[in-house]
Amino acid sequence: MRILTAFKQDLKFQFRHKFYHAYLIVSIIYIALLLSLPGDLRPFIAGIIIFSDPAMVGFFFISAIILLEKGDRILESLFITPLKLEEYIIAKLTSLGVLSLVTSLIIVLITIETRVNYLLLIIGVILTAATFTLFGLAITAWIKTVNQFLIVSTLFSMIAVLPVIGYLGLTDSWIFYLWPSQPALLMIGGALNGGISSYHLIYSLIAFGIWLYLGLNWSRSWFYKYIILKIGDK
Amino acid sequence: MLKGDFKNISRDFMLLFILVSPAIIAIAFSLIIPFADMILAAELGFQLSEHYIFIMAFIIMLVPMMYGMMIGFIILEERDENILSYLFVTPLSKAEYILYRTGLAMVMSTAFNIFILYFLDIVEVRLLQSLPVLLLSTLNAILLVLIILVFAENKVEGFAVTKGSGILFVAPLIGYLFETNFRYLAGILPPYWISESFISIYTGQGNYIFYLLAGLLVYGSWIYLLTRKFSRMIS
Repeated sequence: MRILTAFKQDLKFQFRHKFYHAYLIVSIIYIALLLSLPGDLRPFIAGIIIFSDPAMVGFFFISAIILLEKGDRILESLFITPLKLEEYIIAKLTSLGVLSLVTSLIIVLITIETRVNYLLLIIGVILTAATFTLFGLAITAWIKTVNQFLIVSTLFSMIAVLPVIGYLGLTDSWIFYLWPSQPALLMIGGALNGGISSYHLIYSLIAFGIWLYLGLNWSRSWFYKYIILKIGDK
Repeated sequence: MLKGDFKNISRDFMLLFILVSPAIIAIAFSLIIPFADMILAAELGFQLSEHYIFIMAFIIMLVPMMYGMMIGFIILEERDENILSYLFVTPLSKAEYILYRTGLAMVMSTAFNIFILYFLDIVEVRLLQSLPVLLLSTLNAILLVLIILVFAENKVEGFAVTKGSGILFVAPLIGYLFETNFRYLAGILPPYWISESFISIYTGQGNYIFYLLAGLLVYGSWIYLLTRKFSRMIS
């Protein structure tokens, strides 16, 4: 089980580089914030919080991981081993997904008193984490420094959070259904705020399927083009 | 040759971003605040406008922190490229180096904070009393640079540490929400005193001068201890 070894390695790496420490603190902040709100306001705000941070954490952290591995020449030795690029990517997705899931669940379990559809929440967080980690992976492949990533990711996140306008009930424009963050909001928001309609559920699953497929191909080909071929050129 | 040029372009882009991002923050808040006020009132009967003073106290901390984060990352990059070891051969003390790197950002963030007080216009501006609070708030830039340099060994940890430094924001929240004396525990975290002193300008509750001095003391202690640790790390 090469992939399992890679997964364990990634978890260790993330723990060693204080990812879990950081997210413990971040969770405490969100819990404090949510507990300060009246109980009936919490599920609504928690939906925005979980969608925008714990679920998307992989998007930011993946770039730091890849850039460090690039700098340390870890990637070069990696592609000499039998580990396939797909396996490498999947190990990264699952390890960061664990971080997303653990923090999201801790926040919800402590702060939400109303009924929560945990199955929907778990599936929603996992799919959101995987999709956005893949986007982060693709963008990082194409970028050279952490500072560049900070700029690009800021612009990307500004665009990505726009469907929140729909979540707030300000518009029911169909345009946001083209966003990869729309299914994330529908599923996570629905899990916390009394469920999801079957139409929305079917749309969300199909949309995630499409985005995951695109993200996987996009990150795989860019990774190959900008990182692996570059290593070969040296 | 060409590679060096590319590097300069990305550096310039970075500078442009540092200049433009406060403007983006200002515009974003000017749109979000009335919006959020409207929605929360209509949907949940929650009056956001009652909390404008606190929100403003929060906003004046954002830009210095953001600058601190960016400068912290730039210095981490220099450390990775071993530029730092060359620098410290010159008779430039570490404390002076950090001040030199952060000084301009502090001046800029003060100017921006004065601008945003007027621009957002959600509280009546009392500039003379706000100015000391704004100056205290610029120390957030140095604080964040130091936190990143001391706790992060590389850029990956820089990400994690930056995320974790969000704990600083909890302090004002605790001070705002709890009436008990237990809240003074949050005073260990420097930003607590920024929001307390800013709020006291308007409410007249508490001792404004005391809050400022306490803030200066707490920021000063943190900065002193972290600088000492940073100096030891490099030598």
